[in-house]
Amino acid sequence: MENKILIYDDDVEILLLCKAILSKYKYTTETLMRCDDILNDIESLKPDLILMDLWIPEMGGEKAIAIAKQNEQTRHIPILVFSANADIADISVKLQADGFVEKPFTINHLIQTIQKHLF
Amino acid sequence: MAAFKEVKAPVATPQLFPVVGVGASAGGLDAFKRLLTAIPEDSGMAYVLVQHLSPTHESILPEILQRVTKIPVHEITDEIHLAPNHIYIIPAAKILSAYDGVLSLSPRENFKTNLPIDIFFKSLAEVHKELAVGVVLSGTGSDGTLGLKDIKDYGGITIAQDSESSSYKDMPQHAVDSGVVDFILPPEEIPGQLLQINSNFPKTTGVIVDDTPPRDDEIIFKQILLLLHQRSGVDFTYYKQNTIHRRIARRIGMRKKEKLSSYLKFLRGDKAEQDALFQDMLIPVTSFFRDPKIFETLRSSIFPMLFKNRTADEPIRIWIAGCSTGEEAYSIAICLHEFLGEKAAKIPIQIFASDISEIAIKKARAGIYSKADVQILSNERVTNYFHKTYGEYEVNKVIRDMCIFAPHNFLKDPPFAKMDLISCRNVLIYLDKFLQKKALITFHYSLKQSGFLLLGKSETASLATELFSIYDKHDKIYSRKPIPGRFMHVATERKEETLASQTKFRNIPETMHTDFRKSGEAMLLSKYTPAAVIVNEQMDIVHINGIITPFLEPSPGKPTFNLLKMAREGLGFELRNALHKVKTTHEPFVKRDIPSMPNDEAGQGIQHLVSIEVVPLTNTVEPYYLILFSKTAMRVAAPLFSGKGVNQKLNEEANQRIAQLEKELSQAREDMRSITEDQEVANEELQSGNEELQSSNEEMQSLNEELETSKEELQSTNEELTIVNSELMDKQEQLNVARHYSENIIATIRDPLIVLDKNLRIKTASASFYKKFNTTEEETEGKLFYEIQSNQWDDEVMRSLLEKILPEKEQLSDFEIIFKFPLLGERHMLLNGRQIIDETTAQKLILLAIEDITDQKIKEHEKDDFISIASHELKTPLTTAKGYIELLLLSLNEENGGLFLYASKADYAINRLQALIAELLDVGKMQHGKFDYNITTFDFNKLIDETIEDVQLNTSSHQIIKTGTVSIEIAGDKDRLQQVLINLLTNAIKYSPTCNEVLVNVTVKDKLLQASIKDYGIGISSQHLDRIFERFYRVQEQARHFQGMGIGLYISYEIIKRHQGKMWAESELGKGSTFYFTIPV
Repeated sequence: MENKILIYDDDVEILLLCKAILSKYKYTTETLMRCDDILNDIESLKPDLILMDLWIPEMGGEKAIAIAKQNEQTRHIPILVFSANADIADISVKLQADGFVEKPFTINHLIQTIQKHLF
Repeated sequence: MAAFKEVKAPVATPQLFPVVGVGASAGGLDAFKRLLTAIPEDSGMAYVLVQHLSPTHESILPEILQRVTKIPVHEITDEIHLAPNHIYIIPAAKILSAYDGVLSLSPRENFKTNLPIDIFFKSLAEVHKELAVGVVLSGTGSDGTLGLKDIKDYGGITIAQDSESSSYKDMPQHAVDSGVVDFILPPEEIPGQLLQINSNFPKTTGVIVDDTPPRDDEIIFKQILLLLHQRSGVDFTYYKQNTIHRRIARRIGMRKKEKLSSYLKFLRGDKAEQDALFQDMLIPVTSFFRDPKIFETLRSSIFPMLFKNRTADEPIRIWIAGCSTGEEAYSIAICLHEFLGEKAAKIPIQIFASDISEIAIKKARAGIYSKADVQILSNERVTNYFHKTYGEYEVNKVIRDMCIFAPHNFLKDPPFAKMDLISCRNVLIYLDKFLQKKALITFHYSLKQSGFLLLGKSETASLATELFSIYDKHDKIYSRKPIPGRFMHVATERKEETLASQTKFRNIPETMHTDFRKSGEAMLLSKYTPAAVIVNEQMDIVHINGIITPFLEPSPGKPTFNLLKMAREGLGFELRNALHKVKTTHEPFVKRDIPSMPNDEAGQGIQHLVSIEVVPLTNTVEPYYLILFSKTAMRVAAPLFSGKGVNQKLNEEANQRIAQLEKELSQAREDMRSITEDQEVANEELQSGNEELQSSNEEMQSLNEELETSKEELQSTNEELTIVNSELMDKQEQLNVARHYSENIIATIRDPLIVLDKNLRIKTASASFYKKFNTTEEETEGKLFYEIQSNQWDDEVMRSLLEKILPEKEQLSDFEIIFKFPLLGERHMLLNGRQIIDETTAQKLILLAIEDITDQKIKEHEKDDFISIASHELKTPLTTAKGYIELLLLSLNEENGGLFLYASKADYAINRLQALIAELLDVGKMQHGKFDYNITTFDFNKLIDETIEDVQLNTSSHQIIKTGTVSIEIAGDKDRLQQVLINLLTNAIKYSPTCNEVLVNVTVKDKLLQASIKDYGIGISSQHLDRIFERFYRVQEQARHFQGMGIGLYISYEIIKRHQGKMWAESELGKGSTFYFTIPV
């Protein structure tokens, strides 16, 4: 069965690109441009891995990650910080995220990082 | 050696020829040779060469010099006698001094201060006086200068070699600079000059010649003296003629006149030359404590005697006659002060110091002497009695006030009186006997009953033994004999007349001078002269002619030659009258038929009639009178009425009457005589009163002159002060302007400034401080900085930093601090502090400049935000573009040919764009120190291999060749170091477009890992090499051809710096560059 990746990003082009790449590698992709209630999103979409942009409207990536990581039900789902921020490595540690993918990325890097966290 | 040893030692001859002392040091041999070659064989002078020689070196100087001259050259042996036309040379390791025409050698004892030239010149001057000539040739140091001064002082001639011809010009130049040199000449011209000067004198080649020059010259000399007399008021006629002639000859030489007559002509028209000649005639030889032994004698025996019989307020009076420039006077004053010690202040001391040279007196009055003048004194005396002003030594006030200086000619002006001590040293030697005697008489008059006279070493009072007795023979101290003294009034006009008549007198008899006339006159004189005496002004008989017993006889009591005391009865009165008349009229006077009654046995009872004739002598300087006596026997009066009885009674009556009349007459005579005597006594008293008045007057004049001088000095001091004051005012004005200027600057500066003292109390603060922090002077000044405005400035760190500034001389530079002010809120402040010193109080202060950088901080923050947002915004489309291109590449492959190539190019460009954005962000972070490093331990060799591989992948034009391997783990940020390597490698490729190689080398040396990247590209010129690591710096010449932002090397440099490493480059334009970096391992 194909793994399902949930991507939060406010840029529709990025979302489309990621969908194109991931589908090529046999991933199911869900994309969201807003994040109002991450727990609800997880509940309804049941992703295997989440890519979270830090600048996501309404609650922002940081807060969303914190919520997901504090919830017993959702904390096991790997969340990768997905941002152009140069300090992304520090931020991901701080947020107790499982990893990060810095924009811009190479397809190789993206796929490898995702694969690493799925198994 | 044999060559000159054969020369016979010359025979001793009287020292009437010039003796030329020649001194030289380094470079002297050449000068000696040139000098010697120019000396003619019969120059009539003796030459003594003094050379600085090494004491251990056997000199062959005589041998060398004998080769260049025919004149015999001798090395000096003991007691050699100088002879003209000979040359003498000092042997090594000896000191040569001259003593009375004989050169004597003594071993040189002190090798440190070797001044043989000075020593020799000094002795030469003392012995040969105006016949001494001193020549200083090439050499280093200053030997010879003091010696030349001595020679010049004694009237000799001084010459120095000119600097062009000297190999070493120090020694002659020093002499020239000291002003002691008459002529500056090259050595070969010196003999000629000397001959010219001496040509005005008879050549005395060993033969004594009558020292009177030819008659024509004599007349010209007299005229020169007359001219001087008119100009200066000093008559040099009776000064020693030799000295005078030499002095005039010296001036002739200096003025380059050939003959006396031409000099006289020149002298008549040149007042300055007259003055110069006059000053030359006065011979200013003097020094402090000259002949120190004399001063010891003064202290030990003379001064105590002066003070023995002295009442408390009686002043001690001392006269320095011929004081020159004052040294003698001050020496005696110092000596006296030392003798008296603390008592000196209580005892009035008057030291009159006189000299005829006004120039000398002026210098004496100033009392300022050079270092050379005072160096003869002990350090103690210098410190006690002098103070330094502008490098010279001024006599202290206490000594200066003891002395009164006045221009005065003791041979002409009325002398000072009531002196305890007179010092007249080395003056008499220049005077001939007549003036010497006159001086001694003057001194005798001036001295108190128990006074002392001090003469120079070679002077005596033997001309006036009746006036002075020897007190100390060796030191030439004489005591006054208690006989009444009187100074001679000499009307100066008289002397001139005398001079004139003397010349006339000489003119006439010269022509008819024959032997028979002389003997005839002698015969006449002895046989037919009437009895005659010559008396002087005091009526003392000085010469007797013929038989005078009928007229004069020694009077009982103390023997005396006084004419009036010796006159026989009846003559005294008439003689006095006659002389008196002649003295007033200057005409001969005859008195005939004076009845005289000799009271001796021979002419018992016989009355004579005596005629006296008094003639004033005209050809004498002093007034002298010739008194001629002649007698005729008185006819015995025949009884008038003899033989007549009638007349007997009458006769008797008449006789009685006659007897009575005669008695009355003699009574009247007796009365008259006693009256005259009384009158004479009164006269005498009046005269001595008058003399005293004159003396007092002279003294008053001297005092007055002193006061005038003091007044003038005060005026000039005042003038000086006024000038200084106005200069100070000027300075003050300038200061004010400068102060306003800086105050205005400070007031305009927006940044607050405060000045703190060492306790951090506010001394002052600038207006901007008050304005900025809303406070006032009253609230701040004098308060502790951290306490003002309710401790809002109190900060632990700042306080400790400020407190360190003064003791550790540290500066506070760009110290950032955040204060929370109640009114202003949170402010970022930049503090700069440094020490300033208040020059007047030597107080150390802190100047603190406070810069509010809050706004700047906010701006920076905004800028950072902007950059991160902007780069974020840039990255988003970049991410998309990059993703799609990669997708494109994935779906294409090499078979698609062109399309695949295009996609890979786009991918490469996107990667570069990504790198550029990353670099820009890095720069921003570095500026704020926010650049983060992720330090891990890794294998550097592996890193470098991987990096090279990566870079090689993207370049086909260049081959990257690595040499050296380091198998070492280092701690550092792997990504950042890779960034550095990539930057350097891509630069090497970029800037060597026409080459195909880049060389990489890695080594470990001294715990440093060193990497170098070398290319053979365009290179960098040295002017840019230092700056390439600066941010945004681009080498201009290359900017047009190579793209770039100029930040790559900056970032690399900063990264290496953060690894405690170093980075540098070596390059040559057109040949390539090598970049190095090191990292400690």
